[in-house]
Amino acid sequence: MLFNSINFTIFLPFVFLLYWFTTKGSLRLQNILLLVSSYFFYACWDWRFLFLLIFSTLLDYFTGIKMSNSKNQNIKKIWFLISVIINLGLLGFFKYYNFFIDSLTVLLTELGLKPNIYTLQIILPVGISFYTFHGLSYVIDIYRNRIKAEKKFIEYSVFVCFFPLLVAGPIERATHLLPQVKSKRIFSNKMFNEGVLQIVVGLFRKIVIADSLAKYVDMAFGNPEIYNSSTLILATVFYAFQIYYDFSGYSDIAIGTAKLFGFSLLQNFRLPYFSTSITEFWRKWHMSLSFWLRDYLYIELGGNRFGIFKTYRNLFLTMLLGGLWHGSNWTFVVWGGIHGLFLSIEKYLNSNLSFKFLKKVSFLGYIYTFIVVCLSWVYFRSSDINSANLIVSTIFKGNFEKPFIGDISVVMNSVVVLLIGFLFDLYLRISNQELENFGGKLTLPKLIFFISISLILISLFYSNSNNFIYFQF
Amino acid sequence: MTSNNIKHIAKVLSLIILICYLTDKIIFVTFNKLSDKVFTGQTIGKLNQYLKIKETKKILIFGSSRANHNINPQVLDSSSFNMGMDGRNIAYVSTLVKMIQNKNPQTFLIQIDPEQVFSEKYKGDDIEALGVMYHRNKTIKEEIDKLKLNNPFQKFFWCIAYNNKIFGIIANYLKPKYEYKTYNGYDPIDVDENQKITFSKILSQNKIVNCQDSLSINKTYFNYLLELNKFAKNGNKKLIFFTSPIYSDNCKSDNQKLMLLAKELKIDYIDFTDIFKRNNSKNYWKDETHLNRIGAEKFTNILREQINTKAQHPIGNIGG
Repeated sequence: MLFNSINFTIFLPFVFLLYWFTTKGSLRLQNILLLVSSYFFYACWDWRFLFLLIFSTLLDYFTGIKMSNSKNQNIKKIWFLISVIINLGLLGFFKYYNFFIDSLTVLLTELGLKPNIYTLQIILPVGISFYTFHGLSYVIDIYRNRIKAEKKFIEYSVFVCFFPLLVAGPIERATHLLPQVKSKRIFSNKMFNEGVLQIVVGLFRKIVIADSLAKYVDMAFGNPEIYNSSTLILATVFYAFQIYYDFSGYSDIAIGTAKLFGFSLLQNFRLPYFSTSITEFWRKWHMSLSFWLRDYLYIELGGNRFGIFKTYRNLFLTMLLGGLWHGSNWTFVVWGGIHGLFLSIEKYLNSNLSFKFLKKVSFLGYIYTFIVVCLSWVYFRSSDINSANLIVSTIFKGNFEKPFIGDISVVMNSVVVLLIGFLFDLYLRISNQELENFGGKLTLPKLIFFISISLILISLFYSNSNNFIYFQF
Repeated sequence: MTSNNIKHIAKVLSLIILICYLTDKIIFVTFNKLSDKVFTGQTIGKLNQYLKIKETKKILIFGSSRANHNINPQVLDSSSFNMGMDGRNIAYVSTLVKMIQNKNPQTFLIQIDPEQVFSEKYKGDDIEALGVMYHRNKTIKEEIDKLKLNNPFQKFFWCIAYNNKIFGIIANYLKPKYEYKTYNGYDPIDVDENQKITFSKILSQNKIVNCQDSLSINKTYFNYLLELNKFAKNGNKKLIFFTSPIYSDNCKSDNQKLMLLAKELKIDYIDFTDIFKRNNSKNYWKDETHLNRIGAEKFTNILREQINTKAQHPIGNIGG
């Protein structure tokens, strides 16, 4: 079920009413209702993969308890490894099997061999990357003695399967979400205001801005060989905003929805294009993933504890794997590689006193960051490495003639709605506010006016909805 | 949840609904007034012009951009209008035709693509372009509702009718693109050097064409063909379906099957797909499916001759 579907507009109020009006405040009933609703939400996409989700939940629940009960460190480690191997095995099979087979076939063919390896028709289960990471963070935290295993299956399942974050995050931590699942939720008017406003803003970002920009982007990236530099630059800039508003829009709806049920989820975006460096960008972009990678991969690899060489290696490796997490294509690896490279360069410059002057010209940082991020988006968006290389080389050829516009109204709409979205972001930045609690700070008339106008703008400018980009990950 | 919370929710939601309802209607009425004065552009102007002249022209040409850019109605008859528009298909065309209420003899030339006639995917979505008149035209409302393609929110948000159209309307209101009184609906394409290069690049690409072997007619499309046929018979109209030329068509089975279907349904159908095959030239084309001005003039002359043969009377008279 998509957040921007008619089904969800019926599902959400229905579950909301049941949750607050039929459970009589019983925590157990509320959790059961949330779990059943979450399973239904997931089954609407493909009920067969519900079993995979339940299996994954059972695996981590069971191994978590076993680890917690183990007094022997070796046994604990065995249970930990069982969980990690099966989790990553499932993810690897469903997401990367064909990718590795194809890559291996290409490699063997290059070596002059004639491989006869079969690929399989595998459907990628929606949300597998997200709920696997939920589960992994849980077992890693137990293994590292940061938390104790959750004994109640329903409560653990709600932590993994809570429908707002089930298919595309934010990637929650057990330390943050589980205590909320276990404690009594109290409805507050403030949270309701914040939630409703964030849902509406998220919808606007997704179905108005991102989907409008998608038309031009799809056209240019669909046939990059026929367009000039200006067209491809415009399409790349549009894509930078498309993916931002698409995914941040999704996260806004998820966070807003969770608030209606009394939950506070992790913030996922904090105006990432207002960053003066790639390092800062990653503190603001898909924060729940970048912090997950930092805590469970970068630090586990050794972080910056073992000398300069290993620090750069860990940074680069983390970003490469972070890229691969997004999809089974070399384009994502290159995307991660670009970010890893620039993060390493920045780390070097920041640690070297002779480059301290760079901080004084930080305004140039916005431009530098945006250019590097856009360059990396070319790889992220392109269907294959060759297309991406073609786009980058065309851009650098500098054929800056008039960009191809096509349907002028498409571009005009895109620019206007993008401007609205950007100005709102700018307002949030200047007034030093977070969208997550913006609705709670407005007076009631202002809140109602803001939401009403947003809904009217949505009806005037919404575009035929595409799937959320992050669904494919 | 306390009663205070319930009151708060009720208050917020009811006020949002009220303000949305009022604002929506104000915007809707404002844009109705504005758009009624617009007679240029594809957003609404051409439709407005059509509604004005639809009963007065002898020949009306319908279809997609392959009708719009490929046929100069002036060559066919001085009393003719090209109502072809980008992305339009049989559902849109059929609704436009059904809006004609007189019984005067008229000829309708309707461009159809065999690929779409046999497409499994076609659901009549092109009719959504008429959504701008959903709350203002009974025929349009009925046709959209029939296909269940109306946005359910449009019952409340009437201004959805103007979704993604307001800039087009404002632009044409402030600065009409052309003098609509002399406009005959034909938008010829003049190709510049860059477009020629682009076209050559596209042609040089090795495209893999997968032709469908098992073809079954799209049910929605079929129903529209029947409805149009019936409408024409009852309304004293002459219907001629045709397919515009294609630079190089690799799939023939759909064309053949459409020809058989036309015979079966007893509808006039002329397939011009390969009309330029023998003496083709890149100079006639903008891209693989659209002719440029030179090609369009050439094609319209061929169309004129063929229609004469088909109708068995001079072109100037085929409208009666």
